[in-house]
Amino acid sequence: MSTPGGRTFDTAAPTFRRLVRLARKECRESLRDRRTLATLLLMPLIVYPLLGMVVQRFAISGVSTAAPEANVVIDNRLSLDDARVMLAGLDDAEKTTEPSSVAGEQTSGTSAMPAVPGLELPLLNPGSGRVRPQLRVDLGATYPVELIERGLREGVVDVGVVLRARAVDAPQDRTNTVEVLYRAGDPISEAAAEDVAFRLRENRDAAIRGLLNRVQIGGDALVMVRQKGLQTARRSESPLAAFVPLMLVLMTMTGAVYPAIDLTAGERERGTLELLMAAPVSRRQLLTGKFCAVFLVAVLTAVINLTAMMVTLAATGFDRVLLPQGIGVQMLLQVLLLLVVFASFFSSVLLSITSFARSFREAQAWLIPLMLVSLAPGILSLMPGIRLTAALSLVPLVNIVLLGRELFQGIAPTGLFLLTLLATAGYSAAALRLAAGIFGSDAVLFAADRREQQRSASQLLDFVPQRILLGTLLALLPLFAVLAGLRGRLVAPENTSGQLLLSAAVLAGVFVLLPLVAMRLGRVRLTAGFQLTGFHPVAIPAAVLLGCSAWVAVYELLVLAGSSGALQKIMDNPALRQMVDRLTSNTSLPLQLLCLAAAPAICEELFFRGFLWKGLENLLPGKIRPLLISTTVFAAAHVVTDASLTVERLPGTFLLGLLLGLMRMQTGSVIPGMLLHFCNNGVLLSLERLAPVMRTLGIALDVSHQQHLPARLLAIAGVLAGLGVLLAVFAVGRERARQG
Amino acid sequence: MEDYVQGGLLPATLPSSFRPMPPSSPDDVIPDHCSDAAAEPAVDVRDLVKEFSTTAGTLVAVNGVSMQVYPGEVYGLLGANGAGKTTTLRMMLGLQRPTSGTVRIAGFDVAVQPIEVKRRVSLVSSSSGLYQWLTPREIMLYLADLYGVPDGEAAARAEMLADLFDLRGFMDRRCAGMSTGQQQRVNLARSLMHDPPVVLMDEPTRGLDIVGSRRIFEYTAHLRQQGKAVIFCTHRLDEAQRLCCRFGLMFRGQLKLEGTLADLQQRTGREHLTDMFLDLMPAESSMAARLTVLQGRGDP
Repeated sequence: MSTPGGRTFDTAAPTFRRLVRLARKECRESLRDRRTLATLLLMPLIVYPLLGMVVQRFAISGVSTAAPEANVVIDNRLSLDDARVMLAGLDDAEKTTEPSSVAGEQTSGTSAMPAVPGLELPLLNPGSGRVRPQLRVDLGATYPVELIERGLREGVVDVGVVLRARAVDAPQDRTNTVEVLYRAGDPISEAAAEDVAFRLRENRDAAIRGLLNRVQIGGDALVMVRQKGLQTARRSESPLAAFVPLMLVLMTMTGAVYPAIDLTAGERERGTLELLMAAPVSRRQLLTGKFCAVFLVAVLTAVINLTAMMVTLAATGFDRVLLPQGIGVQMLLQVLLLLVVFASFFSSVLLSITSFARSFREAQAWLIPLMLVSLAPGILSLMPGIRLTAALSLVPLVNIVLLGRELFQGIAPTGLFLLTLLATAGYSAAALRLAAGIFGSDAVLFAADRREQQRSASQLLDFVPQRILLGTLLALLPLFAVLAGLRGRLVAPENTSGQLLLSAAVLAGVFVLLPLVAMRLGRVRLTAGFQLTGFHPVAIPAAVLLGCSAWVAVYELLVLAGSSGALQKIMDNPALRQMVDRLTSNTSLPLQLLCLAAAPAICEELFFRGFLWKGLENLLPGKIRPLLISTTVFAAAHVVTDASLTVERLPGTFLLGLLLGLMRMQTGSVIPGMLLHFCNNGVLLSLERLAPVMRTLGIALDVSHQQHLPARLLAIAGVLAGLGVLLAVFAVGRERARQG
Repeated sequence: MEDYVQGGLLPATLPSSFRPMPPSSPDDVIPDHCSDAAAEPAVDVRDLVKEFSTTAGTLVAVNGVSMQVYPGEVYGLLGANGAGKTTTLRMMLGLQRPTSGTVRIAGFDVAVQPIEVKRRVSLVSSSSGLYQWLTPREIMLYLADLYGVPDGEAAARAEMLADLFDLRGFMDRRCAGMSTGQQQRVNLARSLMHDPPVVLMDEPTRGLDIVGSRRIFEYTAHLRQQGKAVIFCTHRLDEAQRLCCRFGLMFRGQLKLEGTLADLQQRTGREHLTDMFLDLMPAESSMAARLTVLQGRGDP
């Protein structure tokens, strides 16, 4: 096509070809950068061997020499000769000054961890995961039982081998019975007692076997029992096992950080972003090209790190300690697939954050808190006893580290493996979509201009800039954790009134005070940032009516959607039940309404439908995305309870959040939503007290079977809700007409 | 002065279609004619408004700007910093959404067909940078690809522009090691890769020395000769007076004066654009007025 003064070309070229070329340019640019190459190649090649050496030289041997010792003493009613026979094997070298490891002998027959050549490793007790003590058997003397028991009580002795008196009614019995005494509840003493008892049984069996052989008695009826530990994956879980996937995840993250910053904030700083935005290519295509480059670098980092780590583990012998199944091709491929999906997720998250930043330095400042926040779930997964469950499969990063650990141990369930992959891929797509909305948007590209224009007029901002929003979101979780922790310390758990009041204070601190301070610092007008604007007064009865009937609608929708299982889980969830019981017992209804209805209504509306929405509105054009994102965050926030994660609450709170969001969207203010929220919570808290009133209306309320609510209640709620909707529509229409 | 080639900053041995007018002195770049206003405007802006809402009311960054720019015309969009020039350019390019009004480029409405508009426009800005790890050839081919220039044609255009802007010596060297002047030439060359009918220049001489500025003048003359519609956005009125066919003087978001130099001189009675612009400013904002006020107060 020709235009006066120039030509135009067909930019509707095949999208895939365009995408490939965009990605190729971004990759070329990234991979030529020495800083990227340094992170990609040098880091893993240097870090792992160094780390391996350090751990080998100091950490493990340090732990080994610090392995606990256990003192074993003998009853003076036993002769030393008999004791030596009974405990043979415990005292090979012997023993009063040179403690030996019984567990080392058990290795062949039971289940101790394999020793690393050249190293003394702390040995784990079979099945228990406890460190096995080194036994110091005192065969130089024997002691009275009373003294042994006193020594046990005072912690001087850990194990006593004492002779039990023969039964009076069996004088013909010539065998001796010994008891192994230990300090109950002391893991060192218990582990040592297990070892001593095991050796006693082994030696007894050997003695019997020798006697029988000598008198040539025997046969199939005589059975000698031996213990043999089978090699199972769960058996010898090392506390360091989760460290391997965590390290891989962290290194993958590190690899992706630099290109993500360079291709977004760096591009903006260099002045090339505006050229890209001026080109006839959609922002989504441009961002996808950048995503491909960041993703590629992240995957390369993952591959190189995985290789370097496996080589280091094999070379140092740690593979036998940390990876009970050894290094297998299938396991490596699974871990690699996991890392690829994680790389995709983290690349998207990085891009959505770095797209905010105006400069390289600003992007780095944003990413430091992100990395710290990312570390928290990773470190959580290092805790012993935490296993990958269906719920945890949905928690980003935790699912990757836990699944990685279980893959290395060879015990990852296929279903959870797939669920983790799917969830992470879903989060990745959502983050990429968010990044596409942010990347190169008006608000981001020209935010400085807009701020400058308002500042030059000495005006407060009437929008929430992205830096204020991001900063607040990053500070929110740590603040919540600190305040919630303080609440537990300040007031005793049995003081339910105090707990309730402090819960409300925590809500106010996290959802009101924090954004308030952030907005003050960012010169944002508070009424604008919290969306505390005027609305038509008819919205008040509308909100009250909708609030009183909302729980019925949410409940019925869940039943209709076949989510009775979810309802059942909510009803049966012990954590929720415990929390509700604890908070609502022994407190007056007004206090409950104040702390569990009014406080959440005010604080959460100010935050989710006010501050968060306003910040999202500034970033993402349109109303639907702020509505959906704020609703999702609202629902996700309600999943976290004091005791655990209650994923079952997600659909219900999402629906309620949607209703509150629609109310805010239509009325343009958070205040009607506060009323709706208060009424909803208030009715739920008062259900028990309302039951007699309902009975007088012929309604027998029983939600324990998760079936449809009584028709009469549905009809009343339907009428109330319908009336509420009509009033809301009327209020919105009048307000719009008033505004012209 | 390695950049000078045979008296000009662009090489003389070029294909005829790419030869700029050969100026021998800065005055020679002053246009001797303006385009035919009877033709269809390449840029047609009507009642363009951009508002930012603030708590104290509405901040109007661009207020009812209308202008037409024709093929072969260099239009000087002039004004002080913050007058609304850059916001106007961004709306023309589809980088910012207008509050109201329309922008049509080569007949396409930017609000309706932003991609078609972007295909026909090139942006040259003082803040534009280069990809430091790519070579000029890679950058030019990459941008050509973004604009849909076929591979073979893109390669030929890159060669031609390399000759035009004297890039031969460093066409395959990474930009990171290039001088400011070399980078500027690459930037100008890349802006022509898709042969756009409209070129928007946003403060292109900001921060440049005399050699760099002169290169911009020659480049602008070349564009005019090529029949392209150019909007030259600057606060340096002296250089605009030497380059542009017509002028639009913006003040606080409004286009206060518009016309050729002769028109403006006749209407304002002033010879220079600078004087015309100062006349637009309120009396109280001038330094002389402020000094008078201070003297009246008895301050030193």
